[in-house]
Amino acid sequence: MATLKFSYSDLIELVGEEIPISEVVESLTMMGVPVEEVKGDEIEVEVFPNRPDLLSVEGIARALKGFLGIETGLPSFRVTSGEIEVFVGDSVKEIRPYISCGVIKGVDLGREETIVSLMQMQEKLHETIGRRRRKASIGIYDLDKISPPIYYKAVGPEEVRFVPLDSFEEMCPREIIESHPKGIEYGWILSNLDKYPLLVDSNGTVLSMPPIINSEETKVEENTKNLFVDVTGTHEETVSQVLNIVLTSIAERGGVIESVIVRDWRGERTSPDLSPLKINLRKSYVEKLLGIELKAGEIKSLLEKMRLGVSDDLSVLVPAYRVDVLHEIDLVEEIAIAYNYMKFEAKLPEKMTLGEEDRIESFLDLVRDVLIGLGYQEVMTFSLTNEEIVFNKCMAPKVKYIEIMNPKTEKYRIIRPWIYPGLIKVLSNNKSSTFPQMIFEVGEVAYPDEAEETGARIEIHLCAAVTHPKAGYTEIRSVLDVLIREFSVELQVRPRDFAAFIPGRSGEIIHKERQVGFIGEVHPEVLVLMGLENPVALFELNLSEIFEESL
Amino acid sequence: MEIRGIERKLLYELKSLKVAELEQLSKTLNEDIASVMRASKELENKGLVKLHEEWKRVITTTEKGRKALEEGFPEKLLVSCILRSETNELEKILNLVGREASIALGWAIRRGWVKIEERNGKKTVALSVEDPRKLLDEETEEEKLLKFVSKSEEVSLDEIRSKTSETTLNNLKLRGLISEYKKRTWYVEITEEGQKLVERGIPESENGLSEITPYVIKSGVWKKIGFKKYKVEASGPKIYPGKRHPLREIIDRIRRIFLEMGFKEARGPIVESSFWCFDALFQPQDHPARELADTFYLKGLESKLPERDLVEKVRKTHENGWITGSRGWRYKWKEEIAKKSVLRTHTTAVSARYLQKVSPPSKVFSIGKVYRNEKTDWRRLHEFFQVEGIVVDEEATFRDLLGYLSTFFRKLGFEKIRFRPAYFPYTEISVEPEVYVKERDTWLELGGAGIFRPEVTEPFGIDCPVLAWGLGLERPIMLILGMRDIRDFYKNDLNWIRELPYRILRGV
Repeated sequence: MATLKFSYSDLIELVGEEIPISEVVESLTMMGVPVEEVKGDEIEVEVFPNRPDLLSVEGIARALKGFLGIETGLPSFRVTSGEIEVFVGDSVKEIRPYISCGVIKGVDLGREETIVSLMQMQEKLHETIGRRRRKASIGIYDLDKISPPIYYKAVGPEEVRFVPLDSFEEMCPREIIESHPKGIEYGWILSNLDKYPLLVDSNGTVLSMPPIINSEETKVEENTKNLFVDVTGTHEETVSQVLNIVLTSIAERGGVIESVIVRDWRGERTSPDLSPLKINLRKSYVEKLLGIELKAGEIKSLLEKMRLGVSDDLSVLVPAYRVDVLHEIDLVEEIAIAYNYMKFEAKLPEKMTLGEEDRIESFLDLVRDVLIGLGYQEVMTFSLTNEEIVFNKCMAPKVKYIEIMNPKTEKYRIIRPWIYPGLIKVLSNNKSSTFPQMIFEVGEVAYPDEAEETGARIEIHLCAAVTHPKAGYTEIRSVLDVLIREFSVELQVRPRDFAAFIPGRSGEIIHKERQVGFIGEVHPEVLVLMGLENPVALFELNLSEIFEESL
Repeated sequence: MEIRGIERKLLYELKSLKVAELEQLSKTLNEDIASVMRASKELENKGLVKLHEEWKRVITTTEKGRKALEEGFPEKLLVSCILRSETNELEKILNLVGREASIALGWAIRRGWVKIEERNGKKTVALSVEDPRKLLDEETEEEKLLKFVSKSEEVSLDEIRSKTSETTLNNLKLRGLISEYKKRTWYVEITEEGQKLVERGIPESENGLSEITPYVIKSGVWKKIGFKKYKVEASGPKIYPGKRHPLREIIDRIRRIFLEMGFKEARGPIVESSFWCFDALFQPQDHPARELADTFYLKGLESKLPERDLVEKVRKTHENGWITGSRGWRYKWKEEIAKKSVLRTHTTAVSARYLQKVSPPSKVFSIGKVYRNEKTDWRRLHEFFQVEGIVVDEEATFRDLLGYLSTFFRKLGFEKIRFRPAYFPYTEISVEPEVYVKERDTWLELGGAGIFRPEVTEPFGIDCPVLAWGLGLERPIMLILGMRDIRDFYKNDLNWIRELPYRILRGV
């Protein structure tokens, strides 16, 4: 989840109209930018991943101006054609093939908020749409410190030396990867490569080593007036989208965008490409989905509030920074947001449909009824657990089980193959509660099974356990017998020893010559390992096996 | 308050006496001292009497004194020996008196009854009173006192002093005929409350049968003895009914709400292929939610993809929008990524599977566990429940979606609901329903909803709107049950579960 912090006064200055903070909070929320927190002058909002153009206060101000009707319709950006050339060498083809660049002249970075916002926007774009800089990363430089043309090429680990940002000494790419903080943080993107991407100018001055670090020599400062911006990455469209977002956001505070000429192995193109996307919108489509009637004029003005360009025949122009619009449906949502979600009248359809329970769910509910009738309390435990509890402490029968590839904690490493260890854990947590304690759980377990579509066989197990100073086999056996009677299911218990149970006091539950569970008095060794002081008797039964016969 | 036996008698005795010596009470009630003492203490505990003690000096007859009474005082014996004897020779007389001759002689001389003379070197004794017979018949002061004392176990010193001279008393003590010691005396005094109770009359306490055995019933013994009364106002020992888990109770309520609204229930597997969990829902393969940091992947497990035709349509939709009118995500879609098995991250996977076989109008819901690779804390769990619903209907609109959601939350007991824009890769229009929490004066987000994108529905051949929502259950249930820590659901603290009444669980 991406969040963004900005100052209310900066936002107001960009919007150009005095709006009370409460109204700003309400409008942002209903515009699709939920406010997380307001602390004095500081506002923190959540920005949804489909709207990277809102990852700067400039972008938010632009959208808010539309939503509040202060400035509507397609924003226009003046783009002049420039002469600067960027040459892309074939050597980056296999490393980090795509680059888009642009220039913006006459910016004012004198205010602290401007620099802070610029840095925050870069960081947030890197994390989200840039997929932690791998898919796209941004470089911004002081154009006046650069001598075009600019070269984007791959270099060897020790081929060049330059002073990286926030450093005092020259380093080569290998040293940066190994010892610069940013090299350590993002070096993984370039791992297994023998050459690294580099931007240099005609004098051999290094601009940056994407996507790791810029050079100290070309860095942006308070008095910088003209900017050169590059975005490199692995996905061409994302690269140019990110460039569009950065340039249009900066331009919100003034400045003129100037295009550059990018030459690569495919030929020559002008960058940036800020031409809007055109989508034809059908009025009937809008009305059908929203369930309201709208005049074409109303649709037009609603879309204009969302900063889209609309002609009278509902041909819609989507600005280049709006990367989320893929389909006509996306415009319907824009209309709904501009209309305001809270103004829609909720209704229920008059069409009749029949409710119907799932057969398995209603069977499980019945099983619960039977156990509850016997005074047993339902418990619910996690279906993720670990080998230590299941096999070492509770000495569960050995089976193949499913391991999680990437567990965050040691506690939850496997999908439980049995339920009963969870119930024993519940009893050991309840030593101070009144006895007797009779508990049960109905829940899912899983085993690896190649024959299954997902590679896993899911079973629903029932486990019932009883503990008090005189608890024993007979008592829990009576419970199993009740289930056998209530569901008219053929189950027998055959003597069999399990590590978890006292020898001679346990058995396997058999259904049609297949083992479907076990029953017995828990072995004192298990009780001691789990910190229990009273005897426990329990059974575990695979309900999936007996389900069909039971109903 | 039960008052029985001696306690009862004691109270009635004290009704007029107000206060009495314990020993005295023991005599009048004809009960041994220990029993009266026990009863007094019981009554004192009930606040009906007060016990207090006093120390007194008392006099009692010694063994020697009793003998003196039986055999007569030795000085009197001496006088009668002199009278009866023919000789007055001292030695012979003393022999007649026997063991206590010297004591007898001493007291007789001191009283002036006899005197000793010496004649011809021989000592003689002679009476010096006029009428010795009368002397023998009359009791001395000492004899009188000893007799009085010997009549009772002991006599208080105060009482004796009022009857006799200090000399007499001292003489008896000096002669070892009486002894003096300190004694503790208990007094029982009725309290005001006790007095009220006896004046009102103490209810009869009951004796009778406590256990009703088959023998008691059959033999008719109860007709004679009757039944012992119980203290019916006292609570019985604590017992607990079996119940559903609090989470299940409310899941069941949610289940009933959807059944009432005409939805059909569906189930799906907790282990799911990435295809059904993500790809079929138009979630691009590099979407952050699919990363290891968010989704649990399973070691060594691989899923089979559904029929070729569907997979192809999904692939093309991702890559370029296929015929859906969308631009698609414009990347190269890979089958091996779609085959990775995961623990489902949302029940929307169940809905995606359902889209294969659905024909409008159709309304389906499912409730199940979902998993997120997150560290568990007081507001987050790595596994939790979700309810998922879809409405497939030619005439379904955004307003119907809001209608279903409002109805659902109202039925669950939330009065104030609002809807705000949101984003999910598989829905457009997207909406996040929020309920107002009065106690915290905030809006609480309760999941996501929307209309499935055409990129999701068209590969399944569905060209009508599909309303969809997925709501996490633990958070609203915490509000209903007034819980602060989400982990408490899975702690299964029996004290908590057993004491949580149906009034709260069922929201009545």
